[in-house]
Amino acid sequence: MTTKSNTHQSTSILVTLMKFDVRFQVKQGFYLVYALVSALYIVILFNIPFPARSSVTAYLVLSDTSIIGITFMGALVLLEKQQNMLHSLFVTPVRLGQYLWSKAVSLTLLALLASALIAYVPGGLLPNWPTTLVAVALSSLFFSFVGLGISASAQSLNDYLAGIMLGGFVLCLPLVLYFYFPLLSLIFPINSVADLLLHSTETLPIIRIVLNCSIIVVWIFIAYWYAFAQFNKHVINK
Amino acid sequence: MIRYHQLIRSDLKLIRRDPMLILSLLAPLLYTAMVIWGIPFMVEFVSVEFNTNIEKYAPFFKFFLMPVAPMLFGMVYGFILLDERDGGVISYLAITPLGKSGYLAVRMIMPVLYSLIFNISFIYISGLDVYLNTFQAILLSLIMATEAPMMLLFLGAFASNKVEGIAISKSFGVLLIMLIPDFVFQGTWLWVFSASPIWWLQRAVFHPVHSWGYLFGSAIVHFVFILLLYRRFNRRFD
Repeated sequence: MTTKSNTHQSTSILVTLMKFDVRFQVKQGFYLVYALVSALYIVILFNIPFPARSSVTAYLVLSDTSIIGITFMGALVLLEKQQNMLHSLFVTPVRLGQYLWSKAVSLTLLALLASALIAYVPGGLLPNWPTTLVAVALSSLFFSFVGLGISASAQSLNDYLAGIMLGGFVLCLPLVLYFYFPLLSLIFPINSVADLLLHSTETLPIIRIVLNCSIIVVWIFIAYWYAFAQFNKHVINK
Repeated sequence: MIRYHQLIRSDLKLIRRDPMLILSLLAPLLYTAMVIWGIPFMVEFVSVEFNTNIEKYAPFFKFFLMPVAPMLFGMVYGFILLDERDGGVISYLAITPLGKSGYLAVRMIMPVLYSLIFNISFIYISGLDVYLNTFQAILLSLIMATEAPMMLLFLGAFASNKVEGIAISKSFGVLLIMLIPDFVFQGTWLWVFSASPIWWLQRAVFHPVHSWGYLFGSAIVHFVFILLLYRRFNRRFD
């Protein structure tokens, strides 16, 4: 009975945190900026003929909207750090895990919305819509946790940007391997996301879809663990 | 003079301390590599994968990369400004002999200098000099270098904190996206994209007849943008 009530309370805290995070992101103009960027992408994509449109859309989603989390996370965390909000927050019943998931899921909502607009309105990834959504959600969660991990130790915005530039470079470099060893290179998260986005559902066997998703889920937990450890080290036990 | 000298020295110290500044100063090397190896590789890749020849777009890709460095310098210095404003540093400097305008001048001059050196080298290394004479190349480099203070002032004028700064910096990409249609389509409707100051510079490089006209126009557009942003920045700061 107590466990059930604890789980209910924990979920309710997470939902409340997420609502505040989304509201804050709307207020700070994240949604407005992505509405503008997506509108421009849509205009350009409409002018690209098929089948190039599908590939260009896939690369746009891969390189921009599916990694929104890593771009915006640093500013969110740094502002909270500067306002000394985090120390106050963690003396309340809010747990570190809930804080991290709330940040990652809230930015994943924005990633899904922006990706759906540019993938479905010009129709580039429409035949492939379920795997596109899954790929974006998983990719966004992974990169958001990486962003959280980097932001925990960052002292300034430029510090964070340098961290994500280096981190992003290391995480995206294995994409080159995808064109030479497509199957073997799927062990890297970016390659699994690319595999899901670049192939239509008909050409990608279900086993490969499951394999890709499983690989990214494992990476999400590694990134979550990294973010958790970094927050414990640099924020909570500082 | 001595006070400026001291602030420039402290700026050089800042470069040693700030990893992002070091990375952004290394960016020119990355661009040079992109121009030398990346663009021919991409032309070849698209030709094999999609059976499409995109060689005629190569000069555009080169030009597209050029404003990224000044924008990056402006963004990095803009984030330093936001960090310093959030931390109250500018208020302290405002009551020193340097003053607020002196502080802002140094923050703007340094990225202009870096950009100018980068732009001139880039024009000659990338081969874009075939479209311009020496005087035009220097003038264009100088005008494009003012993109840096433009970005810095834009961040200072519109962002009230780091989070808004990151959201705004994301929208800078829109200025670059607005260059794409001009290279693909034709017609007077393309003047809608003249809202992007870089559009004028693109026309100055590639227009077969009115290069000087567009260069002159770009100087005016850049001057007006900087003046308006400076006024807004001052109002906001006061």
